Amino acid sequence: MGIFGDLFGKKEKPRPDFSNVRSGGSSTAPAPAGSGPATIAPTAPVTTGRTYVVVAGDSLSRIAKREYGDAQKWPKIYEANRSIIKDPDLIYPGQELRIPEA
Amino acid sequence: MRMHQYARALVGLVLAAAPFGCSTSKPAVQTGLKVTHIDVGRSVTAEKTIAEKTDSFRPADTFYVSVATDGSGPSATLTARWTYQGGQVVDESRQDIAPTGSAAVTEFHLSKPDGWPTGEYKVEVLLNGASAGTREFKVT
Repeated sequence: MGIFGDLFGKKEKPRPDFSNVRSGGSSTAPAPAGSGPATIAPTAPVTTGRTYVVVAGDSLSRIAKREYGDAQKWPKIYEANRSIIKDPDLIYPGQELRIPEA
Repeated sequence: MRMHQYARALVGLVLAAAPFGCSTSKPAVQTGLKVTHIDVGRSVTAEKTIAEKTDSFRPADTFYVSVATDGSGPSATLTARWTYQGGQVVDESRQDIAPTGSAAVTEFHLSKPDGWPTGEYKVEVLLNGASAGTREFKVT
């Protein structure tokens, strides 16, 4: 490809590394019988609001700023996720947070 | 001689009818399940629908695709196949569901801790291995 790339004046771009991608999912439909643990959680309590997956560089105030337009509203997110956030200064990429309605 | 002609005609009729007999005895594999909606966005509601639809993301965003299905079946597999710049596979996720008749919604999400490369992305949704639709979006 290098030769052809040179001939046609094209330069190969390095392929991005997607090895650290985190994926997940859930459904309102139940899992098939006997399928074992699934990515879906049919017995999870129904809550209002949205979910948000934490990425590197996030903080509760940053998420609050983005979701509500007000960084000062971070305690609202903290309170809704007390079961998974032990310290409001420590959240981790991949954590799935519930974002209550503003 | 006439008996032989009747016998030959009878054999011919049986052979001609055989394929129809076989086809009706096959078990039905259709579940009646179909994909009715595919949406892409930045977040989902508790009902798994997209809260903020978009086709333009930022590198720090999480991609969400919400797939609405209608119908029922004992087991069906939904797959989300994410690709970058026309071919590089980013991820492929599957979920097995057993919808009970009413409309169901399934969401898939994808994040990258160090941020998404800018460019064109596509998510293809498959129902039991058959393509049910695609959505294209970009990261800028």
